[in-house]
Amino acid sequence: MPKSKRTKYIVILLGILLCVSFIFDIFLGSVHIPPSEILNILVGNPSSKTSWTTIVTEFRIPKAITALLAGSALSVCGLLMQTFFRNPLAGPFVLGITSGASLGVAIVILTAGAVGIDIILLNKLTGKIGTTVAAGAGAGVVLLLIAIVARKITSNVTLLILGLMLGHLIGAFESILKFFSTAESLQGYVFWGLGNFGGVVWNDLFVMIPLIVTGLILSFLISKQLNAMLLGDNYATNMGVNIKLVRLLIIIGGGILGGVITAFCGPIAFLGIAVPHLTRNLLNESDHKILIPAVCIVGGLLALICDIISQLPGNDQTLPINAVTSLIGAPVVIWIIISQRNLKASFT
Amino acid sequence: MNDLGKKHIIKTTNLSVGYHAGEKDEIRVLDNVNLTINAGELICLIGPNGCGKSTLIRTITGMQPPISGAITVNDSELEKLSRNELAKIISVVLTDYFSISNMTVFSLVSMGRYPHNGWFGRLSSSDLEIINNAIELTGLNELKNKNISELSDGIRQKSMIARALAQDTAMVFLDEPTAFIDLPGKIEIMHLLRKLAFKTSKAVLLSTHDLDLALQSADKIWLITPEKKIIIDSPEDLILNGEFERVFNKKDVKFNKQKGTFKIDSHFKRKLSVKGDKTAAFWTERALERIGIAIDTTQENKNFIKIDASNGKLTWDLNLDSQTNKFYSINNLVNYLKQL
Repeated sequence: MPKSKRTKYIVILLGILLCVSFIFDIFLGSVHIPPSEILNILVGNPSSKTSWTTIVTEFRIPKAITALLAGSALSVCGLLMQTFFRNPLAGPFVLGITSGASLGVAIVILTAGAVGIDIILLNKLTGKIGTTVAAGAGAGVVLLLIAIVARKITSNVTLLILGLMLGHLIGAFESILKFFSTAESLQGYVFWGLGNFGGVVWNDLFVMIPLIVTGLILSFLISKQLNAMLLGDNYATNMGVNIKLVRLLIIIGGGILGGVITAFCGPIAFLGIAVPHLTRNLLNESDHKILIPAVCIVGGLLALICDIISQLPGNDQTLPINAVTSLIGAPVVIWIIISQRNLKASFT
Repeated sequence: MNDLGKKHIIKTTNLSVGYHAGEKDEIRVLDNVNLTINAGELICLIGPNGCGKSTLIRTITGMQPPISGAITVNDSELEKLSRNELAKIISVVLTDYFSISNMTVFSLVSMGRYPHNGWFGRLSSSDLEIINNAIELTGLNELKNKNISELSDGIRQKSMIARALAQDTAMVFLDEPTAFIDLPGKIEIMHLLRKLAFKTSKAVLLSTHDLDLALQSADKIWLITPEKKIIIDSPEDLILNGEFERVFNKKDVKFNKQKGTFKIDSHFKRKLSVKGDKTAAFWTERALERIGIAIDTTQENKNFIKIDASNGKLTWDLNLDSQTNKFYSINNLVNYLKQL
């Protein structure tokens, strides 16, 4: 079978799986609702209990959309970072994007705690705008720093190391903040740190969707330039690519995708690193024009599957999403590293 | 050299190349460089390690700014050309190592069309024709759907050359294209480059440490001397006027003008002449030189080796100090002579 045809079939199959898991994710949850009732609610008929309607329309559907968006956005962010740094272990965490967002949230939650406002009250007071703006601002400040440094420093490896170091520095600030904060606010912060797709409501989605879609479109628009960057900066320059502009676009795109998701869902581990690898191997493809849409689908699919697993079907408990993504993501990364002995060589 | 009447692709005037160390300090590597590159020419840039080859090349191809002086590319100033315009005139094959596990030869070569095909990189039918021509010309047709990570260094290098060809530029620059490739592969690549210069009348500029190959295939040599001057001449003139020897001779390595190759300079203890079958004589002489025996070409030496090929087998008769010994291989002969 020719490669392009094979790619097409796989993408279609993944698309179907994505739809199935999206629906499945809505059908499952900590409150048991009969499938026929959910179908009723989905087609707009009144259900026998109004609370079920509320759960499905105000909680489960936004949560499924959030999982889909988060999976796609973090995975594309990871792909951008891996191509940009030509490093297989790059992801949203490098460049300090996630750390920056975490610091912003830490400052808001922990200082609010210090003046006697706990996280639930804070969210009630500000409609979650407090944490979201803080996370966005944190990610933005870190990205701005990196962008300024990137103008001076030409080596991507140096930039990668700087990003990692910045992450550690921010982590240190966070520890200090945590040390001086109250137990209640610390609990709120730790809870945010566990990651959660379920805390997003429709109003949040109206902010999130345009931003994420912008980030994804921006990434897709530079797919030719990303392809050229696979050969390294020198070749890319010789092929007429304006490296400085593309770098800036990658940083902005990656920043929006990683920052916004972290702001709304907390730091979600491993999706960003694992999905680009899975997709590249599945399709045997390196062209970003195909990879970016495919990574969106695989990322969304994997995030939905993680969310389904976190519901522990048949149980009324819910696992923290970060634990599930790590449980699935970490072995995937280990498997990739072991099965592809030339992984390191394939990027340097 | 007289280049009148030919079309300059690149011309440098009083160019100084180097780099900036810190804010104010500049390190000049080469000064007063006046070079021209013409269509259809194969130029080899050679010089000892650390003489400034890379800096010169990076400057001429617009990857690094000059310290002073002017570079004109197709009659316009290099600085005034946009990246994309420059990419349509100069393509490069670099030593930068990369290996992407999921990229086919075809996708790699098709990247050569990037400067031509707009922001999104859609391939038109004329793009496809140029890509397929480049693949054909480099002999990669059978391998075009293979992943480059599965191919040998030589084939990879050819794919990179095909990519540069697909860029359809007036000039191709190659940085040490024959490094890390086995000898037949090196010769094949040089042959390919010659063919390109001749068939497509592209200017081909390459830096190399394979001096033998450079001497055999270049139309022009740019030789950077240890005094940081660039000598431009045909390879034959450089050999005959002794410049080549002067630059590259080391204590124990000497350039042989007659043969055009470098030899380890042995201190000869003995002189022998070799008679008989020409091919066998050539290799016998090589073996003798290696163990420090000079070859006497006068054919009047009383000490000589006579190679006999009459019975379909080679034998060596060594006449030394009026004694004759028979040997059945060069190895035996050499071992005997070593013990003397």
